[in-house]
Amino acid sequence: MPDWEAIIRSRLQGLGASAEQQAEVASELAGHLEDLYERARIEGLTEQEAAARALAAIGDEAVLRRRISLALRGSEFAADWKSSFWMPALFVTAAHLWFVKLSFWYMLEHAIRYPNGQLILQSPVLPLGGVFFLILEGAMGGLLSWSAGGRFWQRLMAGLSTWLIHPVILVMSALIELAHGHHFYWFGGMSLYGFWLDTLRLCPYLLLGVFPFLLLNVRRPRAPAHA
Amino acid sequence: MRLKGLTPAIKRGSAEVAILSVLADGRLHGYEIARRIEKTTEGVLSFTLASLYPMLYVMERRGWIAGRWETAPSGRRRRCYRLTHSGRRQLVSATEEWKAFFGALHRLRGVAHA
Repeated sequence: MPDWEAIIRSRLQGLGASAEQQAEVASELAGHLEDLYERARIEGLTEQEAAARALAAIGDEAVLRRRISLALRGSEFAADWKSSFWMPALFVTAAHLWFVKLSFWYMLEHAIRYPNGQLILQSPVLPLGGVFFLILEGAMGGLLSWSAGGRFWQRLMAGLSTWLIHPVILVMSALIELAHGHHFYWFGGMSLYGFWLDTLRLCPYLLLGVFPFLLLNVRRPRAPAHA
Repeated sequence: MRLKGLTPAIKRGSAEVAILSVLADGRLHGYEIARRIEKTTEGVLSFTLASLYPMLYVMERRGWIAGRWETAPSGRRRRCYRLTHSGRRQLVSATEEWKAFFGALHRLRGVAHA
């Protein structure tokens, strides 16, 4: 009979629980696999077939690890929208306001400099500070959603939440324009149309940040609540 | 029949009721819980490790069930779960909610065929 406890331990590495808690979980899950294996043997399966059936019960080990980790940490294991999208999106949007302020203070130009003005890095195309912050925002949204058990679309939307609020701003601004009967101009004399285009142009940088968290588990089938 | 089209919230709710229901008959360990549910529902409800154990841990944290390590006559150690008073109350309340839910669906179907 395979050493089920060793198999489970190897698959639960990085659970984020205490050593004692991790050992208890491994022992409990190993007992389950042992029972599955024995039942398969009683049904007449060979050792290899029985072992394969028991191993299949583990399913996607990343999903198993993440769900158990969330359950032990006290979070609900299901990807509910509040913790997997709204809270990360709110946090990233709040952070975005500070990042915009920081990039206006220090890094709006196409270069990053030391405080004494000496050049570190220069970009001929985009303001580097803004791009850096967009990548960071995407990564923050993706990470927060992923750690809360967010699914692919929740991770994507949380990572792009900075961009997602822009259509809301656009509609609100358009309504204000309609009410006042004149065009509204944004920072640096940018029109609403220009603002919209700029938003679309910068969106890929958010994607660059959230991308690693989209890749996690995405190629493997997720285990449904009952599978 | 597999319940693939249901939302995660409905699946979770039904799985919780299923676990509480089988534990109402006595203490069981994880494998027995899964096996009993699968057998009773004729395979409509079944669990993987990733769906069963996180749910047991969450339910234990909520105080609905309590787990304890026990040693079987064969010498094997298994963590057995039992229903708590709070879990029993939850089972009654959840059963009522599910009855109301299915009753409503049944009435809707009745209207559709009137």
